Amino acid sequence: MTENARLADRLLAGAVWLAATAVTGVFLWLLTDLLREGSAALSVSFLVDEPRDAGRAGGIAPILVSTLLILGVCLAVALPLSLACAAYLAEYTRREERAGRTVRVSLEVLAGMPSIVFGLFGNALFCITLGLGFSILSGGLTLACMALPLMIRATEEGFRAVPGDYRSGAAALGLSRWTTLTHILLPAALPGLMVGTVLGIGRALAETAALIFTSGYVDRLPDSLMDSGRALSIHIYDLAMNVPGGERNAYAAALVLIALLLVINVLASRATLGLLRRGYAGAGA
Amino acid sequence: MSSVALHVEGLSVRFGEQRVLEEVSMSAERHAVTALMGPSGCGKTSFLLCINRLCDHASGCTVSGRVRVEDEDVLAPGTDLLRLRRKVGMIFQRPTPFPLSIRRNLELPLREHGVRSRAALGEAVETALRNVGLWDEVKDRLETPALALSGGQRQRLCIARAIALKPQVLLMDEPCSALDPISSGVVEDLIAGFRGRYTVLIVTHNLAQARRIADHCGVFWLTDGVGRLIEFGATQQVFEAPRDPVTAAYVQGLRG
Repeated sequence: MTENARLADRLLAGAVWLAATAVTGVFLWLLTDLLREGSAALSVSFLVDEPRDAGRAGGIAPILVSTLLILGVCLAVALPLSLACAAYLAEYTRREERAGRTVRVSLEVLAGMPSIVFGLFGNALFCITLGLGFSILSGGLTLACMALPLMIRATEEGFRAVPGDYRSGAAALGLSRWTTLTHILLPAALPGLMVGTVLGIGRALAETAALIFTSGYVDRLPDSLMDSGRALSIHIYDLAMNVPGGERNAYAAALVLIALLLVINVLASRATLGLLRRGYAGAGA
Repeated sequence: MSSVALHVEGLSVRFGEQRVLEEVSMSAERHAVTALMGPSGCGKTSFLLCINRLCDHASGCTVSGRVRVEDEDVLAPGTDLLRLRRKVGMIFQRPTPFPLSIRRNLELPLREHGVRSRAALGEAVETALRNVGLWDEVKDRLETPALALSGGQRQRLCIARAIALKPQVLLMDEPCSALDPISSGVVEDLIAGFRGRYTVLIVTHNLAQARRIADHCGVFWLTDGVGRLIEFGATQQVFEAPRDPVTAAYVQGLRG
């Protein structure tokens, strides 16, 4: 190796290392900042109390409930829909066919759509046209529209990762398409579905813009799905931007949001690993 | 009832514009083992796929000619494919157990074809596993994943799964070539033991294996880029007095 090539190698290694360190650094900075500012206000009573004085004091109990309800509505709609749509794309169309291509392009456009557009759309469709008003239901349905493209994509990849051997093996045994799909392909595609669900939940929990117009703003405990409720991300936004002196609780609420995401991530990946370890999912070996 | 279980006449297969197989005609005797040999890419697998209509799943595949399994016209447009595939089982080169437990692998197709009672299912599972010599090896772990089995055991599980449906014809596409020599021997003995019970059509690259287990042999060959059946007859005749000079060179190991 010449001296120049050696130098180029070292420069490359250094640049790659620097990029990786920078990315990790930003993440660590963010995390320490959150922990330092937020942990002071964080306590059990913060989780179980109602907010007082526009959120400067008290806790986030009703907001947590609203958040989980909105997430529940979103998943209840998005899970079955994304599963069916992914099964259609992966098992009933070929990659190059027109029908599949049309659906796929629509999904890609939807996935790149700014969330504020979803908010306006959700407001027009769910709140006004369908008459659901500012409600948990409207918010959850709007989030479902947003999460769908991500969830469908990941689930479709899950189906495509299932070896073709299973399909021909099932066909050769005279198994119907329905049995093949529900008993063989679906369990094997579960890891993909998990990944999609975690991505979807992440997007839904982080959402602010789409919810302001749909699930509303009030910070009291919702008494039904038709009632309005404030999501955690909106609460953080409100405390940080509109409530002087709310920064401390904004940090604490952000910490709760991150913790919620982490817990869901860990649970989902544990469930997936469990499935894989028992040999009932994925390609197997 | 004639002694012919499978009759193929003038079978041609194309993938798009590409001709793969041309004018193949042959008959397989009931409950005998018929081996199909020949170099790679000369249409042997495509031939098998026409017999259980798995060719329908290949994109751009068109088939012409006649295939009869027992009294059923296989290529007729109205054929009930699920019923046909119950009658015509298939074993692939790579064993394809599903990512389910050993028991569920066997029960799933049985349930699909109408076996519902627990007792009947249990009995069918045991009989099928005994028939492939797997029962003693797995009877204590029927609920464990089938993917934990060794390659040879997987292939025997797939054979058990196919014969549990009581098929009339078994198509086998190089069932031993992905296995180690010992497992391969076990599976080969199994196939030889099927003589008298199932009509077996086996594709193999192993000439010695064909000679050991087959009653009849066919040789496929690529001429002008298209697969044709150039030789078909009793095993002894094909190996000792072939009609076609290409077959003669092939079975002596001089070509192919």
